[in-house]
Amino acid sequence: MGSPLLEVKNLKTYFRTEDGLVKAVDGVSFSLEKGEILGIVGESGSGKSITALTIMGLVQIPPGEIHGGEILFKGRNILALRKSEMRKLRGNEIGMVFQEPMTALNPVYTIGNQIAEAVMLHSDVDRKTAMKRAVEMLERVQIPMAKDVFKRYPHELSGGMRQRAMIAMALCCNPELLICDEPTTALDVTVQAQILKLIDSLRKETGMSVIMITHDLAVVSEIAERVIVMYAGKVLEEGPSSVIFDHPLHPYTEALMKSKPVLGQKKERLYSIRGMVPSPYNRPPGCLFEPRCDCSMKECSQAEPADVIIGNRRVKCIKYCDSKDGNRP
Amino acid sequence: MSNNATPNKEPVIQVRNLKKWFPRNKNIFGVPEYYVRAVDDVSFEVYKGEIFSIVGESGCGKSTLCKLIVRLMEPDAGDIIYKGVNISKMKEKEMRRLRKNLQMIFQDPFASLDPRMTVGDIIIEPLDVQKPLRGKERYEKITELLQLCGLDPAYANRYPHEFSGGQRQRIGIARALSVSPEIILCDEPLSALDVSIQSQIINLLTDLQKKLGLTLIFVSHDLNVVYQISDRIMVMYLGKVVELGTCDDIYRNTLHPYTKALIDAIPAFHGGLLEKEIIQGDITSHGELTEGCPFSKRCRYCQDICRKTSPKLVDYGGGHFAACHFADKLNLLEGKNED
Amino acid sequence: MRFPGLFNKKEQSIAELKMPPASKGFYRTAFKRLRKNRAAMASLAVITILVIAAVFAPVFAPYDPLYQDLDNILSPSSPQHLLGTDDLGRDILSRIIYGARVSLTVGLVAETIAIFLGVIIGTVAGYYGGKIDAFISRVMEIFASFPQILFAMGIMFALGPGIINVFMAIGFVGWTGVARIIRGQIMQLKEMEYVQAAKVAGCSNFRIIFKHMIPNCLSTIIVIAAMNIPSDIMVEASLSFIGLGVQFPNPSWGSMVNIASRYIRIAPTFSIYPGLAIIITVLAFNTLGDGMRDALDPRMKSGKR
Repeated sequence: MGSPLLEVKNLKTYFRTEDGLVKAVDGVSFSLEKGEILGIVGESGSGKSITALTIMGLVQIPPGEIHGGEILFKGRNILALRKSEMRKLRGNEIGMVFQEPMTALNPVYTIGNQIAEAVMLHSDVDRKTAMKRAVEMLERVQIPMAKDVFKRYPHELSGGMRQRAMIAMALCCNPELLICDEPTTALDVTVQAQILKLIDSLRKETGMSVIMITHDLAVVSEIAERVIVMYAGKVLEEGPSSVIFDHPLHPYTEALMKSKPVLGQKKERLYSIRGMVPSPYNRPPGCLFEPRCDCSMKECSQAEPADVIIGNRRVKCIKYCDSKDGNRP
Repeated sequence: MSNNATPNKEPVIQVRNLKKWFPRNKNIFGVPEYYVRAVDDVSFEVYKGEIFSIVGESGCGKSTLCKLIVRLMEPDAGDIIYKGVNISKMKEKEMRRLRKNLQMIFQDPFASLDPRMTVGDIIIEPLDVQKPLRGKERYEKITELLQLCGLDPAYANRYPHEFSGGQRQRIGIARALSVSPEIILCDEPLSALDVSIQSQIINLLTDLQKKLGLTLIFVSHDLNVVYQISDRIMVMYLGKVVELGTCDDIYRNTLHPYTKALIDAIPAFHGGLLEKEIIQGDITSHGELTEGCPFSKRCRYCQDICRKTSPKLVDYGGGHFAACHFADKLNLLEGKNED
Repeated sequence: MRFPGLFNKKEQSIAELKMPPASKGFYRTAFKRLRKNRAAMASLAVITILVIAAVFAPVFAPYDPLYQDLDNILSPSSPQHLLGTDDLGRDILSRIIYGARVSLTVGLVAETIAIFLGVIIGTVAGYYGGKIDAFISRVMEIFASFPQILFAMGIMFALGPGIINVFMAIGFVGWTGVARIIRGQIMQLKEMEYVQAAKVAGCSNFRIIFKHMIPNCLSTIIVIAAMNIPSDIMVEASLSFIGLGVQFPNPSWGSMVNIASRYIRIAPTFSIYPGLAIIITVLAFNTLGDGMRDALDPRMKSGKR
């Protein structure tokens, strides 16, 4: 493997609010290979979306501030880029798909217009070519009757079609990285499955890398090759999706798995994680999950556990701290 | 959970041919261009003490159905019979008294609690309206309800905005319980909550149901959750019931192609979703469809008859209903779903 | 039904009972936010001073507002008469202080009438909808199609001049604006789940309106009031200016400016001071209204849903 496409190192994105400092992303590191799908799972407030927005350079500063860390995209630290350079990078090399396409699309322009606009913004073509490209893009995201949809306004399309149009727009300049922030949360299951399949097939076609952000463990296990589990701004666990859900290392991942109802497996009683995600203003001093953890020990509340590397996996839990050699599963 | 819901149980709610069509694009004379058939000729029964779930994708009419049953909306036609009394055309004044038996838990815990009232006042309101308690009794009841739902009674004087989503949903549940209802309708009570909180609320609801002998009508889009908690499941598509039966009927003996498509589309751990054949298109809520099976446009087994005549909901044995012309001939399972 | 000990301790702890100390009520936090807004606080101070001056006018005013110092007619500022005297030798400062009584009561009373009418009519229209709403909306449109001041003048002509009639005229003209905003808000609130929850609980329409809807409109009502008071003061001043409002010889800022306009070349201070009084008061109420809107607007509230 060569150098990774994207490398995030110890990223810290904080927000100054009226009520205090919010450490939305607090020391997040991961890397992404070319052509890989990386899943980021976490509950609300875990910092998964802010991580994406920071990569895109879309965090408002202030109240936000990049407190530290590096984001290396093809070896270049994009946190150091100027605004105009960042704007060029967005769309050209990194595309993004949002949760609610209705708010991301402009309601007063037709779908085709918006995609053509995006094409013209990032490549040096005339309007006619851009229009043609837009129709092609719509066909590529498997929109039936693309020529007809081209002339429609966002509100005339169903949620699934809008999300496809969003993907078409994000892909119109062949980005090398596509960030999907909860792209299917607002959609129905059957449409969700269609969109997931679409993203996967587009990835295979173009060889782009994908970051898939979601709260749904099952979605991630279906589509991603590697998964990172985030909680309260930190990465608690990272590993290949083929093993992380079968043999979770971190108690949080395990608890999430146990508390999810599964079709066809009726449990006498679901497992519940007690309590709730700690308030961003009042984080516990030691391990962030300690107050809710079933196997918490005395040491857990004292200091934050270090990352432990076990084979191709990484986990932030004191349980594994003494077996650094990685003989564990 | 008991799975032995048999048809000879005592029905508490009977819905007969319920109908609600919404007119769309009215012209200047008030004549609509078409109707959205949110609930179209729906009939079913809910038995005492069971958890009855209604599933379907957005636009299938499940929430409208829920609102019709509690009379937040007036049905266009059909009957809702609660213990032998037809409440579908009841005057609002009479209905108000009946409401203490028929409570509801709402979808959005951030919108369902009045931001200007304290938690104590919110949860006791149904009782304040139905048969008010005074002074110490009222206070004790609030304490009891909060404890029942796993909240600290000390927070009775706080305002809703100070609570998290899960806690607010508990407050919503406490409010529904205050009048000791027989039936609680839950309209997507989990969809606004985080994964780790969802299971807390599921457990709370099922515990309460068992211990208080409640009847729950649970509306959801999530088959995973529905399968976990329900006794019986009703699947809806474009305002119609397509399949109704026990959990195992629905999952292990699927009769309707739509139910099958729904089950197939659910992401699972290593479910191989990307390799599966996924149903195309999405639910279209336009009124263009006037005859035939509502699912015929997306159904891969669609025949001529499906486009022409609407299939009836037929009992295929043991209270397992399906509305498909070929329900017993398709053999949808083909050896799958056997875990 | 009683529910004895349904859950054990562990079950209860699942809901996580640790919570930050109780925050204050909505209005207290709003006031805290308002206190950070310096312009609004300065305006509040100005208004407080005005109110005190108006209430205790006899204490603060150096002269009786009707007393004529015939030796000093149209005199400029002097130690004797701080802001000078008018054409009949009356002390302008004293008349401004007494005039504040008129302006402030007009602002408060007329706006109370407007709010009262507007909230009730707007709520009825928004809550019941249908034909009632259509009828009320038409009436509102008719009212809105006249220039306000013209309408007020019409009412004043019909009722005749006098302070009570000024209240009535301004109140009857002002309700449409209030009603329109409240109607819109009630229609929004009607779709809120907590209003539906109240319905499911068995609340009567009356209870839903007064217990759930109006309290949730209250911040809007407060803001409307604060923003409308200055325009009411202006209308009163205009009515008095053209001689339809407060009658001679009682002091009113509007009528003072009116009379002074005749002497604007000889004694400019005569018209400047009552004019300034109007400007300062209107500005203060406007700034305070702006501040209150910012403080009460839920969208400004720390951004979390």
